[in-house]
Amino acid sequence: MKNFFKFVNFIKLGVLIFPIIFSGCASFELKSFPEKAEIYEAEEKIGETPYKFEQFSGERKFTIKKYGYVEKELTISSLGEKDSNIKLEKVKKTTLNTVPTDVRVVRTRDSVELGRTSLSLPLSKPEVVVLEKEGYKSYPLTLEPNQTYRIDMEPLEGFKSVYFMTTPSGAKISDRSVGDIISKTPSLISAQEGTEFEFNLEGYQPSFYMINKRSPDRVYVDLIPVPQVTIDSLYGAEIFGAAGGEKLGEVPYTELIKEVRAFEIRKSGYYPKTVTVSPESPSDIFVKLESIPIKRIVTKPEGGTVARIGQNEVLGIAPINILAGSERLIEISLDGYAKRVIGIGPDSPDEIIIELQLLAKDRLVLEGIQNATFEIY
Amino acid sequence: MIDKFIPSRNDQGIFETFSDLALCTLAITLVMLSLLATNIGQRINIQISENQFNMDSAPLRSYFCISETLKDNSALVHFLDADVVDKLTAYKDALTQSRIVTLPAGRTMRLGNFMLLAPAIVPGIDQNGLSTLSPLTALWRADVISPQNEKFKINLSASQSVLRDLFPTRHLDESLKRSRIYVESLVKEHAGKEKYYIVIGHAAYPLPEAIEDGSLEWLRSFESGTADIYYLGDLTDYKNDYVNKRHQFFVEQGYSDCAMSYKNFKNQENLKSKINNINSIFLNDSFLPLIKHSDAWNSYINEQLIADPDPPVWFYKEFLVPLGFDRMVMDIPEVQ
Repeated sequence: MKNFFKFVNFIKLGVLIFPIIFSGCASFELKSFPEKAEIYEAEEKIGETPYKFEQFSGERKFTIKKYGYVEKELTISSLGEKDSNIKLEKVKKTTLNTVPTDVRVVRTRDSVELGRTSLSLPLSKPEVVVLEKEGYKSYPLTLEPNQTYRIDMEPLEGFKSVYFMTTPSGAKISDRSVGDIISKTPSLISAQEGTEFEFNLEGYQPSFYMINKRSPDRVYVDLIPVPQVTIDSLYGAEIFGAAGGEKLGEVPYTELIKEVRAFEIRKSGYYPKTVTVSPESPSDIFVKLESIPIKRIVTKPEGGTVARIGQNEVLGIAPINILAGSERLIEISLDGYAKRVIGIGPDSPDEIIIELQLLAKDRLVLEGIQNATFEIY
Repeated sequence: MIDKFIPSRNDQGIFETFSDLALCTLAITLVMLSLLATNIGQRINIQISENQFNMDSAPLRSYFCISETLKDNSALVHFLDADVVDKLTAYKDALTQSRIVTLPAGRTMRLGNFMLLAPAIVPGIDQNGLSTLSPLTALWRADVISPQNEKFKINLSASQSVLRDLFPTRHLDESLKRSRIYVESLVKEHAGKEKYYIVIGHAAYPLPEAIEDGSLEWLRSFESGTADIYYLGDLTDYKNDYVNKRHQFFVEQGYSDCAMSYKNFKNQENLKSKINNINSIFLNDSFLPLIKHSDAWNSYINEQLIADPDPPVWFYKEFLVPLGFDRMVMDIPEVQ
């Protein structure tokens, strides 16, 4: 009977212990989509998905990694679900925008600069960063993969943030004392009070603004267009920079006039003319050119060679039309005739007739021919 | 008492010093005078060539040119003074008015007459190696107007060819610096009187007629300190078998071609008119023996120079003095 009770007790104990033993003892399986993801436990690779393991009690922490996918951390409890299906998310862009822009993004763990805002990063795991910009307070931030952040930086004491807008927009903003281009309008800029900014846009006159304590949060700059002047003249006239400058083009010639400038208009057969334009000049200027008088050189007899003095530059054979823009000397020569040098000018008659004089020949006049008295010996 | 009449020692010393100075000055003066006298004596002792004469004149070039008519190509030779030519060529500007240069009759002769004289003319060589007898330069061209208003044209190339072709054959010695005109004397009997002749080349000029009528006027073109009349000798005496003394030389020295040519030349009829018709220079075909046989003629000249004859007395009075060649040339070999 005693043995019977012992047996019954043993059965009772077995009934009690069996569930205790076999209730926590179970097989687990980790699956992922996509498969073949690496499984790390305490920084140690233990396998790849799908991954089966036995866990009778407690919790285990896994990190599932696959290239091109966001890392996933997973805690498995012995009392939890036996099968885990983990869907891995693809790595996309983590976008970080700041106001103002051009903020340094520094990774905290190794102080490596990841870039400057606005910034897009492919993060497969969260990164702790610090946003840094001169004149602004540092801003710690944990960047989660595939997230978009917009951070408003808080200016330091003595700095002021101003949102600059111009009409039209797109003007380059530069620190006038340094000269570096900082940004383009519209843009929020934080700068020390007293900083003067220059706004430049092609075709517009530069504008300036100095930040002070009373500066509003938004500053509107109206850009004034640079005056454009079109110089026109006779067809084919050419435009040169004044005082021997290079050729700029032909009329009609349009130029933005930021300051007073002088141009020379030239055309063959006309006196060159200098015109000075300023931003206040009318937008269209017509320059009237005065023609250089043409003089016709005629020689008697015809065919005289007309050249500059010294015959270094032959102008042509008479009769010939030559420009008489100013007083000048020309040399006329013809074989067998005496050279002539004449001066012509704007006031000379339209036709100048030059009579060439035949070259004279000396004469050896014999008083007689010797009629010598001699005998032939 | 007697000491008054004797000069003191100091006075005597002054006197002696003064007399010593005077004696010394006299001695030096005498030495200087003797040295000067010696020097003058040396200068007077310079040799004077007694058969070489020139004018007391500055060294000048002699210019000549040949002109031709377009009608019949008859050619004339003109002698021009260097100063006239130099003035004409110095004007560089274009000439719009003619300049007239009048040439005396004695300075123009027919080419034939010039060819007769040419064998006796030896141009000198200047420092630049150029002939002192120059053709006119191309810088000066003129129309030549004859007394009959016949137009002649200066032929520069002909003038240059005379110098290039004719005179070099006459040169005895290319190192001659002074121009020479070889002259010989000749005396002929005429109406029982002696008639003097000057022979230059093939031309024998009777004196004093040739001086008076300007036949020898052309010699004045050689009016230069560096142009000499060179007396070669007298042609009067020769053996009767020969045409003349030159002919005798050519025969005796074996220049038979020249001797034959000379004889034929002398026997030609209308010789003067033939000579007047010479309008070009043909050296090899020339019928003038002294031009054609220049080697024989040069040998003759050499012989006469070695003989070094003195000119006769009438040569000075009748020929040299009237023309102005009255200065004997100093015999300095380096300036011959």
